[in-house]
Amino acid sequence: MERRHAFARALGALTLAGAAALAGCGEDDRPASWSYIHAAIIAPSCATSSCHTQENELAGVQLHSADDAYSILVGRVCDPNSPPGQEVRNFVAPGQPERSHLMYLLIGEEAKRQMPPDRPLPEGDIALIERWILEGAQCN
Amino acid sequence: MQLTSRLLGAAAALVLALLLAPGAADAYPQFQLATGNARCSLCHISPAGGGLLNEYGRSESGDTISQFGGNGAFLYGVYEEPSWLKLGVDLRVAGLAKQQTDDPEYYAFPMQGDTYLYLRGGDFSLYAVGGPRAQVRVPRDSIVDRFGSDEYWLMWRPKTTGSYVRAGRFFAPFGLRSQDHTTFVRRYLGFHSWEESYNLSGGHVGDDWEMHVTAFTPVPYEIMGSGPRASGGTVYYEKQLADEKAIIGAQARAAIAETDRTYLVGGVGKYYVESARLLFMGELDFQLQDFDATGPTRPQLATHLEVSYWPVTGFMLGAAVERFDQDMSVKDLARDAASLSLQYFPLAHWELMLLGKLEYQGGEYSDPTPLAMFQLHYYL
Repeated sequence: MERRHAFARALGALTLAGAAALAGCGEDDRPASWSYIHAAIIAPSCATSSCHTQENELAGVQLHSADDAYSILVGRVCDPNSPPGQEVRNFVAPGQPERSHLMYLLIGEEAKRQMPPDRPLPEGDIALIERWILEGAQCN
Repeated sequence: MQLTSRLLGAAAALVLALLLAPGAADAYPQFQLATGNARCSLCHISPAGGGLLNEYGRSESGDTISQFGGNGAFLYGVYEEPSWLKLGVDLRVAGLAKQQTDDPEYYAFPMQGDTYLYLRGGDFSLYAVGGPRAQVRVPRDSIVDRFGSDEYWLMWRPKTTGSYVRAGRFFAPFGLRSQDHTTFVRRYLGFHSWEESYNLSGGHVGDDWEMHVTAFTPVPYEIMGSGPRASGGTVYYEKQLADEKAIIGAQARAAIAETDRTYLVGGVGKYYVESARLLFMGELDFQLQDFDATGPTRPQLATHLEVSYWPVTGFMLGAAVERFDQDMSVKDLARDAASLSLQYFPLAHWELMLLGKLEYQGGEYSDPTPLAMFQLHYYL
């Protein structure tokens, strides 16, 4: 019965999605939390086959796992009981997007190459990451 | 003399296949209908199309597709495989120019170097592909470090039509199955390069319809591939219409991962206007991504529309538009692309590809990212 409800919810939501596509779009009220940003933006955009996966690890950076990605970007461990699987580095200055190298990589200014190099992020995604940094770059 | 030069060429190609870099070899979805063949599996060993060609597909590559024909058989027919064995090699080099910032970037790189093995005994067969994965940018890892296999499977199939069961690593039969892994319906829906999952798939390929049902789970170790680490199932149904001049397909997928769940429904369609030598094809998918407590559920849309034109045999011109909207409930997060392409097949075993593409992020239509690409493809 629960499965049928889940399927009905999915069908209803897809119908709403179709309606939303026709009706237009709303303002960005997505959460500026690391768990959402990693799952919705970082993993699908950066941890692709030729980039920051465990296999390729370009520039020594792995971004496929939320905890490891947090460690390497923010320079501190997400969970003190779970040590990072890679060297901790520092691309983010919590509270200071203007001092965060990650922002310059995403915008493509004062950086050797804009990230992601195949397709830049939409401004809305960059703005969400900026908001997360501004709010302290928590591992939330 | 001619035999010696061909054998030397073949040996060189085999060596190159081990030295160059990779990517799964996929077929052109445009060839379905436009070549007079209504099913992908008529020319390919896989029941879903793509990858190694069968004997008929190899003959079609010379007789129907290439401008000046040629012998499309493995090693040009110099070595005739026994009935239980099929071999193949794909080699591809590419050049790429793009301007994402003020400074344009240029790359030349080995794109594919795959070797194929197919063994058949009775109703069972085994298929495997191996090669180093591609790296566009330098410094590249060594060939040994990049070597791997993104497709290998065991199949029970008594006849090329009828029912089959297949288990192993491959892409679930789904969507248009474009040869270009960067198309949005592949790139953003879990069909990007090296994102093949472990599958148990079964289906039926009939004279004028086919259906494929697949249960999938991610590869056990992240070092073996990339993409969403989700388990779930897909269904794909396709029906031929209009005297083998059109197909229409419907598809659905549910994928459950640790961080999210996605539910997708969509469809594909192709229509070939023989008198004008024009093929129209498209895919439209709606997906719902549910993040549990992490964030709001987001409705997504992915679409690909393309028209292909064959002015003369051997030349295929294409124009395509694409859209991927990662969250339709939020303004200006969609990606769009428009592209023009030329495929030239001068002789069997050879292909030249040119692509020009403009990509737009988040509704910024005044500032596209231009890309130009060249590929030279040779297969044994």
